[in-house]
Amino acid sequence: MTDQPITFQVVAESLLKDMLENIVRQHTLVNIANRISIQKTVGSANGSSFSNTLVGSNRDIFGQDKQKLKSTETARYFQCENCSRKIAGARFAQHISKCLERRKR
Amino acid sequence: MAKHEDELDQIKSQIQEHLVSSGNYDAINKQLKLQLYEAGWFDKMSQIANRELLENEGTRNFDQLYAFMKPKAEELVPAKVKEDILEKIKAYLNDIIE
Repeated sequence: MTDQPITFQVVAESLLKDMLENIVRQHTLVNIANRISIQKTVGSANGSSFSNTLVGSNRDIFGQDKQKLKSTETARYFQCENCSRKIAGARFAQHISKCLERRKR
Repeated sequence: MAKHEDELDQIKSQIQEHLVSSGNYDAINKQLKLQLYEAGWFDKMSQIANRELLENEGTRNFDQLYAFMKPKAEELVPAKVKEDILEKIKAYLNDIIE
């Protein structure tokens, strides 16, 4: 390795590297502190309860399967307070707006 | 080699002192952080750190995680951000030398 002459570029790069190192250090510390505080709050020893927070996970923050949750919500029947008919969750919003409109008329 | 590094360290520490006392260090550091936030660098770093902590639950201390993150952190800094900040530092160096 040959010595580079000390130029603006060399000094600037070295200063930038120092700044970045400080930021990485702070960020690493924040990540570790967050992890410890979450573990203390939730009390999980193996961290399995956090797996759902990873990107691409199929679970919500409560650990419930998103897909399953969606299908159970849409398959559930709710009673319309206006006409007393039982309407599927997926069509409830559409129904209630029409049903209330009908009532107004 | 060591002499060269000593010389660079000396120059750097003088410049750093001036940078901090003039308030420029804070301004450049803030700009660097802002640009990194905007580029999603902090989010990527958090994801990498969380994954590493999850995979090695309870066994990673600060030094180990820092050593793991450092090369990745430098690699993930967008070239545009690097260029902008280097320009800013060089402009500052130009000013103080004049």
